[in-house]
Amino acid sequence: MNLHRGIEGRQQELASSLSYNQVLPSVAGSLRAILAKVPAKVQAHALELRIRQGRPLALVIPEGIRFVAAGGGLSMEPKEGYLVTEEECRLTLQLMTRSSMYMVQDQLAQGFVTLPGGHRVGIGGTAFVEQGEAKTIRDISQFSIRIAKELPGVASRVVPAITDATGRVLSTLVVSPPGCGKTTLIRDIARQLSWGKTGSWRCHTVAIVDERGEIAATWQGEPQMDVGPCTDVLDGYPKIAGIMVAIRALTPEVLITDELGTAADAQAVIQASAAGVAVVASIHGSSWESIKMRPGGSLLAESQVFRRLIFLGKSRGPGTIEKIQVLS
Amino acid sequence: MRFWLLVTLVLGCGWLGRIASSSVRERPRQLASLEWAVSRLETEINHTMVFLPEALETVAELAPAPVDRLFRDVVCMLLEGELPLKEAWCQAIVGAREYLVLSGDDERILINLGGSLGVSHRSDQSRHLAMARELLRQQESLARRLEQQSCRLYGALGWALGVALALMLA
Repeated sequence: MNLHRGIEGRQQELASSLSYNQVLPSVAGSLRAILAKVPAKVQAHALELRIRQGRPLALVIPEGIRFVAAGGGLSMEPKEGYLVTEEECRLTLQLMTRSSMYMVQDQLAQGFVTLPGGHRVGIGGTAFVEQGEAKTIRDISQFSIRIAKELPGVASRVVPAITDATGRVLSTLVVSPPGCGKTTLIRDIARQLSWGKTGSWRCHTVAIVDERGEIAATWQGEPQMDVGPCTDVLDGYPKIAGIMVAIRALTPEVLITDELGTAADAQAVIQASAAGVAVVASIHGSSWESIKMRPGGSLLAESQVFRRLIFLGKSRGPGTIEKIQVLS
Repeated sequence: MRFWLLVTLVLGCGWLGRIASSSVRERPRQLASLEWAVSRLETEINHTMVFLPEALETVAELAPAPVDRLFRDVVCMLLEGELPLKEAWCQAIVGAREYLVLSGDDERILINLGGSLGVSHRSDQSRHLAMARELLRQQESLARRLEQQSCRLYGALGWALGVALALMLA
């Protein structure tokens, strides 16, 4: 058993290291060379990479923020970190957008771009506002890259808890603060429900509304993450429009989407549920009470769409399932 | 022997005149090809909705020679050299002096276009491309007028210079 766990752990470490290396082609060559020198063990556990013009290059690992020196060494002291130049930021932006800002203009207006492999990059710069809305960002000089990790099996404990005795999936909301592994969990829920498990649950038709391209990481029409053989992915669709298309056109048994936020999102989820589709979604928050205080959250609570709540935290590292709550 | 040297001199000067007139003849054709290429690039960006390297690659495949080489060079530099797009574009235009017969003004239009390619939203890209196309069209019509005026002149000047030199040496 321990040996099995050891092999599994090493496989996960290898997969995580691959994710880190997947991000590197999207940063300027000089930064790439530095980041490639970071010890392999750190690479495997890196959660985020932060590039800020005129400030030290930083990695976020489970233990906290570490600054990366020109030789690839890590330090807790900001002064020892390599200072990122304007040219490096400009090249990084060019590589991330593939010299085509026009292709990511909608994402940029929302403050992010998604890299091949589903890695989300939070973009910081100066907003260009028109009629009270951020139309785009100029003078882009900050990149916060969240390294997406595919961890098959993380939902093994969850899936039996969100299916009833007849094998029907119950609508489930995954709740946690940012960076606790919501996307990783719902991706694996999609995978496991789609593949089915002999003797436990059958294959389900799953539709993923992947607004930010993080769940399935679709690249040129093909999901880069294993989301199962019976899964349809609506990549890049705005959440509400995607949910409507999924209900009308894909007839899913389970609909999966990430980061509910607005009342309109909640309305779309309620509509999907009314159509007989089980919804598995995620939302930022620390407790059900705090979610209910938001307009979208109160709507979800009133409608009683969700039957299970899964709370994630970091008590034993990111992705720790703190609690599974059954709602009557 | 002397006679044949003088004949060679006349033929050589005539040939030089012909070369000069052929570059004048070639420029409007190349400007028209560039106009077409810019128009195709606009289609790729606005309607086919592909990333710029793929759009440039498509244009390189479809544009007539020798203009196709300019776009191919930009794509190569972008993919291999990790250069900023503006710089890759400029380098490709400088390199194109070997095979294109563009004037300084023609080059400036293209260099300005390179500075705005890929850096803004779709409608802005459209505006820049349309402006470049219009300016290239104006350059083309000027080049055609110049072609009509100068083509024969260069040819005749070549022959005349050859004959004059031959008479002086005879």
